[in-house]
Amino acid sequence: MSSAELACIYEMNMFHEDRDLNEDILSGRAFDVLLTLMDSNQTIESISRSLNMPVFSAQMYLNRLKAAGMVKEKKNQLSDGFLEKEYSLVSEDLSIINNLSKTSSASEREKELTAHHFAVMTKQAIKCAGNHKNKPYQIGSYFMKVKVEDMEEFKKEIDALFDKFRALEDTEQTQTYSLFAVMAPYEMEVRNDG
Amino acid sequence: MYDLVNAYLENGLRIVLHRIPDTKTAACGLWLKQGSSYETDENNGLSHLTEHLVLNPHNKLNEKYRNIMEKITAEGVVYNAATTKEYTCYYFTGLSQNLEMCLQALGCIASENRTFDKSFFENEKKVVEQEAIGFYSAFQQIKERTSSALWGNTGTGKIIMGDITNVRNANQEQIVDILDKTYVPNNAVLVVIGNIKYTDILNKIEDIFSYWESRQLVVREQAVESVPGIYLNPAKGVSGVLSLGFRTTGYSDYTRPYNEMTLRILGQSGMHARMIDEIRIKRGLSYNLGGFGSFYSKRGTIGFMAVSEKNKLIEIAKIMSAVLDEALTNGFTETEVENEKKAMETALWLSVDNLTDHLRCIGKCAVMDKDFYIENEVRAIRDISLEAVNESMRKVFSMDNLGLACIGEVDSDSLVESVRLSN
Repeated sequence: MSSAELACIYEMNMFHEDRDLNEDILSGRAFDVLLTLMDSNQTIESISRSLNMPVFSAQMYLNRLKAAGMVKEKKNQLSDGFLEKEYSLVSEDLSIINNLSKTSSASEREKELTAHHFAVMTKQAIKCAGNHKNKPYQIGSYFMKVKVEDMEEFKKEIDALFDKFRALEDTEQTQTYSLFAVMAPYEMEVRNDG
Repeated sequence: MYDLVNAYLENGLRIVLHRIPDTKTAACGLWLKQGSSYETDENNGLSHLTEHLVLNPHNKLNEKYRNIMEKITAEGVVYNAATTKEYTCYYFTGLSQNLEMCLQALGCIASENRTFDKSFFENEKKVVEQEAIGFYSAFQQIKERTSSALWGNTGTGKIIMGDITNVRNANQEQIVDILDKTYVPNNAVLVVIGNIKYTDILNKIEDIFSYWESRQLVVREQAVESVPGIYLNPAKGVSGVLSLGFRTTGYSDYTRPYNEMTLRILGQSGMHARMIDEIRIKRGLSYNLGGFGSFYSKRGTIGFMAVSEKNKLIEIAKIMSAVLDEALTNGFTETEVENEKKAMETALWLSVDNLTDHLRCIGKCAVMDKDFYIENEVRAIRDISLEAVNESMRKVFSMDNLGLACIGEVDSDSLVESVRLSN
């Protein structure tokens, strides 16, 4: 018997991953699962139904979010003797959620979460670049003052660049490449006016 | 005609007797309703340790039992014990003239083997730990982990071998607590089979077991989770093991033969089982694979597992899903069902031809408050229809009824996406 099986004998937790949860906690559909918990506590069945996701998938993402300290689990004994698991956000530990009070608009909330998700993916891409230095990658940033009209023209070039990137797709290849672009007006503090 | 005699002693001990004429051997066994499904996180594994301690005749504090065991083993009697999720059993098989001594040994197990020499106790803990290490191959472990994925780490999902830390740290008070609360006659069934005279045997049983004190029982079975889930462990190594499991109804439910047949056609009937055909015969992706199932008093589990290189597990998950989907879409064939009926009946008769296995069939049923009658089992098999099997399969194989277990370094996001059924 290999050491793999030996390790398992002593491991009583149901869920154990070697992922670095701080980096890619919101990968896959974990983000969707997190969003379902924004308004109210949910059982695993209700999450599974609302996301059209198998219960074992929902369980995986919830376990991941729980391990990262983002959700908490409560078990309720039902009248038929089964144990139902209910999940809620550990909202005080999530600074991004702290910014989203009930008085914020849904669009503001969506923007914050989308930005957070994008940041997670970008961070992952940067880390992957570090692991694949023998493959092409480019990371860069530049800040400058510029005419709005010039940026409108430049945006068309970025759109064309994305089209060109997409045209290179070859589904038979094994390596995935990512292309992110954030060309936007930049301020140190964001005004929430639209 | 297959006859059983059921009787009860005043202390609540249920007795089941079955006469087999013209046999020179006899078997007897004791079933206690105590197993891992009654355990908590704190004592998971201790039912199994208790079994070891109570059965082992080398305890210096058990002279009477040791003497009996020396005599019966000198007479060629074979004995063993087993702990399952719902019961612990002890059984002896030997020549008919040794039956009374075997019953005396069971009497000691039932009510007298309650104190243990310290060094014996500590040594047996090490033995149990070594059993866990030696016995738990990836195959055996995955069946238990599938149960945990399906029912949670509670109740039916609790692993029989348990938490080895609990075993290492166990003290005698914990074991005595289990014995005092669950090794009581009103929580037990005694089974005797062989060329026996019912009245004589009942009298002997009364002599040996009537002093066993009953006790008020507390309902102890732990609740299980309302929906299946997932078990993942990224154990390092070249290989890994994957399992798709499904919840079923319990042993007494009329659908059990249909579920057993489904399991056989898909994963247990040799090289032509559908999963084996697709994964091993056609693609060479795995050597160690197949179906497995267990049926308990209130619920059951059927599953399909495969051991392979870790980078092949996702492909295997897709193939398993495709095989299940094909069965759901097109059902089984009349030929498959008729062939399996014969195979199942053959397996049933083979099990009763072996005296120990026969005893265990009766005991397993009895501890679930059901009687084992060979005619009923045969009739249930012969009555299986294609429509019933296909209908039952559609109820079992659904995404909401699926638990996934995997041990090995696998991309878990890709794995869960690979398992898809149309139902």
